[in-house]
Amino acid sequence: MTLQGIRSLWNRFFFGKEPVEGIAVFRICFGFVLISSALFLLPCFSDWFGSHAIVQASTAATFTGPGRLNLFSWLGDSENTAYLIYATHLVAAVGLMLGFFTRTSAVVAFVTLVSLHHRNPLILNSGDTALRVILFLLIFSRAGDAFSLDRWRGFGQGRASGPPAPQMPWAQRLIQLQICLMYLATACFKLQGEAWSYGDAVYYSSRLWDFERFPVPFLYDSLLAMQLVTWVSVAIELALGTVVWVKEWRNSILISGLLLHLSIEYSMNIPVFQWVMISLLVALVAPKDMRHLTTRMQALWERRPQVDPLPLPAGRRKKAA
Amino acid sequence: MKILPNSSADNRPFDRGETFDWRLLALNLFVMFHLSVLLVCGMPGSFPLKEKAAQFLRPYALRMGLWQSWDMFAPEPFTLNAYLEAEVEFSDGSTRIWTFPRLSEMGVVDKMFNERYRKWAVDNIRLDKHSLFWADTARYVAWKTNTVPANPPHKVSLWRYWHTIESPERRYVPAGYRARAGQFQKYKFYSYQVAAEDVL
Repeated sequence: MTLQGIRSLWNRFFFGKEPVEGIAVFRICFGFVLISSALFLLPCFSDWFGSHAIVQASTAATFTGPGRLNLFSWLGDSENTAYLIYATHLVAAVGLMLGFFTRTSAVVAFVTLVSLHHRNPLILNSGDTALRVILFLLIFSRAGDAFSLDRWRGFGQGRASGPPAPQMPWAQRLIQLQICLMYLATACFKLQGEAWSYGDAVYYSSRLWDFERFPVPFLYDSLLAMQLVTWVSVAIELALGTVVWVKEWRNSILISGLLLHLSIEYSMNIPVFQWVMISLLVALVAPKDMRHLTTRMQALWERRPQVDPLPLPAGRRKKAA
Repeated sequence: MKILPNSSADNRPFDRGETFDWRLLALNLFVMFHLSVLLVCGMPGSFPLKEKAAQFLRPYALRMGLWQSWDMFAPEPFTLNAYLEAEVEFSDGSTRIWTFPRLSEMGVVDKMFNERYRKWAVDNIRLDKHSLFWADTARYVAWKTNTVPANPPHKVSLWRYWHTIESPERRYVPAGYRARAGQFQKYKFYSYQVAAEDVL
């Protein structure tokens, strides 16, 4: 491969125009998970962020270090500030999901989310990390160009017509690469451990009482089955981090990833994490496949049987005809 | 076999012989910078080039909230079941045990809403590397247990309890097995004298 070839590949990958339907559908799924994640904080909100929280703001600041993006350090650390930041985050997340002032909503959602994470870093899991880093990249994408209130407003104001134009997908590509890195990194971490190499990881994980959710009767009783599941799950993560880019394999690997996350969601209590990861899989669907899918769904919607919402009395029906 | 993306001649912004586009140059630099950030901050392992790059990139990632680690259940999954308790001594000499929310004793729905308590207590506070937060934890327990104004808490001690899951080769633990209270090991890892302003 020549330098010119590498440059050309780079340009096509990041800047060759692609349909925007894929990133728009991803925005809706991701926005829904962002809202869900925020709502899960609400019942114990004072314990996490209030004036008598489990972690004091000064201790969190010592732990995270100076100069962090944190609205609490500018607005003060009171219960009211915490609720204000939280409410702003929730409104911005709804705006992001609906595609209402999409980029502004994404910026506000990101700044408020990072502030909450810096206020109490001890309650965060990898799902929170994924939400934070992907939300940052989503700011730069053209996620509001389709299936959004912004687009609908554009029609009303004469700024938009016909199907959305393809755009440079560089932000979408960064999101996809970030997702692949997550899977590749976690697979690499796991391959360093004995329990994953010997196949005992699912055995140990299934014996952690705090994580138990619904019963898994046969699989959890067989050491051989648990070993197979351990190795298969690492293989799926490796595939999602690497060969998911091979076009012929992409959809099969994404379906395997979906099944992996659904099975963990059924068997283990790790709230929102699997939802986050499933929403991220949507970002890996090829843009052209997503356009094909959304076009078919729109066609089906337009061909749906028309139901008369209010049947008219016989006399009036005749008159209307 | 075809690797994405699809190529087409009119999809190459730099290959069309047009005038130099500063916006595309800025975008290229932005993309390269953030690719470096996510590689340096996200990939496991350590080697000299990565560490050198991290000196420049990590401060940006930390400040912007782009820090990340993907070591879920890795390199080794947890091999113990653990929980925390706080022993609270009150001014009149009486004591009370305050148990941190334990997911293993909750139903499916309660577990979902209380998972962050497990993250806080079992994954973080239990460990010596998070000793910075022990005083805050003790103050939180003191504030929670200060229900009688005439008899405020005056000392809080934090205890960790744990029960190791043995390897399947040594002793196969059946699914759903629960250890009895006496089978847990325990250790008092912190004591805190409560000040009057802690429970205001």
